[in-house]
Amino acid sequence: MPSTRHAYAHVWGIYVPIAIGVFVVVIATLVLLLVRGARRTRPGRRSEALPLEIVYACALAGVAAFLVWVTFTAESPIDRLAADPGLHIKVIAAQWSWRFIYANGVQVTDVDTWHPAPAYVPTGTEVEFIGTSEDVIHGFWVPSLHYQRQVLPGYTTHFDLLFERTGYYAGECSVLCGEDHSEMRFALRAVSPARFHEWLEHRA
Amino acid sequence: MSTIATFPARTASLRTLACTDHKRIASSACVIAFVFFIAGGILALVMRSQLAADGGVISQETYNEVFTMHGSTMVYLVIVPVALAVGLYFVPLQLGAAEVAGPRVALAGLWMYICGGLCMWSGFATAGGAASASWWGFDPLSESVHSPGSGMDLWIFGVMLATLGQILWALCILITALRGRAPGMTLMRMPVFTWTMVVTCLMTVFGFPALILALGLLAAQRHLGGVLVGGAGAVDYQALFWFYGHPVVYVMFFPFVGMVGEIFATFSSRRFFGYSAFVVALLAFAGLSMTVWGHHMFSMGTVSNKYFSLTSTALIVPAGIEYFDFMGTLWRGRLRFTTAFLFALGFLVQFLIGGLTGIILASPPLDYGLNMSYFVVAHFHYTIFAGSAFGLFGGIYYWFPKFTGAMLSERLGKLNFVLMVIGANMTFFPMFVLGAEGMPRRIARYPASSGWQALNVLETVGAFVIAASVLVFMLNVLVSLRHRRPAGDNPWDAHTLEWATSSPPPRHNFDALPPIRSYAPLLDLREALEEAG
Amino acid sequence: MRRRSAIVLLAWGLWLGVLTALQAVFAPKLIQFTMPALASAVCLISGLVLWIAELCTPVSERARLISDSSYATATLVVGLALALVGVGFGLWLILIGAGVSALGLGGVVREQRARGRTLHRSGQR
Repeated sequence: MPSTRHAYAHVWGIYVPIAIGVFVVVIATLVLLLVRGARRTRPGRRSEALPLEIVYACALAGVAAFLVWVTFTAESPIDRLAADPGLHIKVIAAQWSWRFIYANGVQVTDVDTWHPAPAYVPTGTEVEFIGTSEDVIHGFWVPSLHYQRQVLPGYTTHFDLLFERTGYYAGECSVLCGEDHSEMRFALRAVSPARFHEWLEHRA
Repeated sequence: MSTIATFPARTASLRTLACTDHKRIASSACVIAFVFFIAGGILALVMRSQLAADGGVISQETYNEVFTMHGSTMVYLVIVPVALAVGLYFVPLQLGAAEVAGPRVALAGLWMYICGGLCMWSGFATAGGAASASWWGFDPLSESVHSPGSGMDLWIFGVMLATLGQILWALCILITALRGRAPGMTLMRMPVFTWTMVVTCLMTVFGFPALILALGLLAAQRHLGGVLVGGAGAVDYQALFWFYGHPVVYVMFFPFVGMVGEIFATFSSRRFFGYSAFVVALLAFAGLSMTVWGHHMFSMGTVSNKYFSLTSTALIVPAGIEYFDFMGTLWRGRLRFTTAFLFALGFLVQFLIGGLTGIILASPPLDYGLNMSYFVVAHFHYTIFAGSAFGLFGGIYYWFPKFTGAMLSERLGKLNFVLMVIGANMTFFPMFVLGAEGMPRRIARYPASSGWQALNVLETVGAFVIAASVLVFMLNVLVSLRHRRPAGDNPWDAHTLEWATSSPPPRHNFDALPPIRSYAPLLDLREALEEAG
Repeated sequence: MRRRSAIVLLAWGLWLGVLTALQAVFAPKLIQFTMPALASAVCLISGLVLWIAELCTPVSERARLISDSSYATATLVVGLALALVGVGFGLWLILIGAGVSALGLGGVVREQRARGRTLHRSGQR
């Protein structure tokens, strides 16, 4: 599975230049029209160009189809759950903190508001998160991985994340969940698989 | 042309608010909406002060109430009512009709709006404060367990009332357009603004009832329980909400597209370009708007992401046609850079930023990273404020002479425009950056280590610049009504029928109508006279 | 003069139907499908009703009589609003709202009858 970071960068690298290009073309055309129109004394009369508009609409549909294709091909791999993930972690959200529970019973809950204690994850393999909420909807968001998933009460949500590089990944609650929503943060620390197993055994 | 015989009404102090004249109803609604705009704007300044100071101005719970009421006020009590009210005023005039269909129904709509707004805001006077679950009111956060207190109930009933009023107005306007046109005015001779109002009303009538249902279920859940249960209940509420929630943002867009279209045609001294393609694009766009709503739920994993990203991306086709027609109207035009025209240009440029960032968000791989962040806040403020509100100010400067009989000052108008451009971009552009950096929306505080404060301070300065521009606008209105430079019937040499009657129009709208041969009858008349010699 | 405005509702309802049907390719959940399907159906039916109505009764060119103001409408709405809010606050408010609504409704009936009398007197009935 390609990482969410990779999928985001790939799609961003197509969408954003096109958006900027469209903006520049429209503004340039507009400036031209305004400059000439300011000086004109007799307005033009032609007010229909249906064949041209039909061709133009088809071109736009082509662009839309291209963008949809880019999106669909980038999305399918990251939506899919890996058949054999390297790790399962339960994530339980409750007003206003996150709890991570590993298969062997190890638990991590954040202790500090702005710099919560990180839950460790191994790099180089899919980590399957099994998320739920104990009260209201919360949002599990890791900005540096460009990924978020909402966790709901009474629902179990499964999603995969791939950590390609070691490091500290800050997490936020992205969905308004009440009074202390601003402070509902979490963190993940990605380390090599060997170091991860060391940490997990040490914590048990 | 139908005539009206009115029988004597009693004079009383509340006469204006009980009047069945569509123009009076619409004017009252616009004045009330402006008051709510100021109130909602003050809430925005409170929010911006909190974020610039990095917390500490108000408590987090109060902050939640503030942004809930800011968003709720701007959507339910300002932009949607104004969009429909301007239509209520001008659609009968543009159609050559003497009155709107169902005048008392329209009056009922006004009173629902008033009651709804008062109801929502009375939440501030309750012990638990106003509603604080955002303008969406999502459960389970909005349920009685997590949002105890009557503020939330008052919000629910207030929104229901305001929305019902809006549905009534939309029915009146729609039926007027379908059944109340002057002789000679076929569907394809209705002006551009009227067509944008028709699609607006279609979306209102067929999309807004979903909100009434969602709120009804929420009220039942709060008082009876067992209605919206667990995750499935939460998803169902959101599905119903967004089925309303997407069309509503287009209701907050299309009327202003129509205003901009009329402004461009008038101040280019030529008829609107590409009319037939534009009408088809409007209908296609409005239909699509009813089927893209799932893009608000991409990160839930409970809707068909692919279907909704397909329909959302497809929006570029009708949007592109509309932009082509705007530019075509400016093409070979003899341009007059009035304040109204400047605001319309502002709409064209700034809405484009909002629209393009919307296409970015329509892609789930990108939305997963950007949803619920300040990137989205920037996107919708560019479309609704830097876009629609600019279109609205354009419409105000354009139509003020018609509904008051007095001209607004062009000098103050241009100052209004410049300040608003600076303010809007200073406030909302940095939000794209903050969102990409991971700043979530709806937070009252953030850590100093995030480095977000500098841009937040810039945005707050921008917000006060917007406030200054609104003050200039209010000054302009007061000064212009004092000096009363008479406008005459058609000060702009405009093309559509509302300019073929006095300013303001009489109770029965028209004494006589010119021949109607196209969507620009007065332009036709002028060109015929020119050709005759 | 015949008007063919029903086409707007029929065309739009059809377009909504097409977009709804497209969902079938993507395995939608029930509520996701039902909402636009319902909107499409209601729009199409309204269009048909309007079409039939237009065939049977052309737009009347007769003068319409409209009362210049209607305090009764305002009263009725305020009463309904109070009753609605009463759902969350207690029976006492519902009853007050119902009472005010009754006053308003009575006023509306009075206005209708006054209208009828005026039309009768001016010989149009």
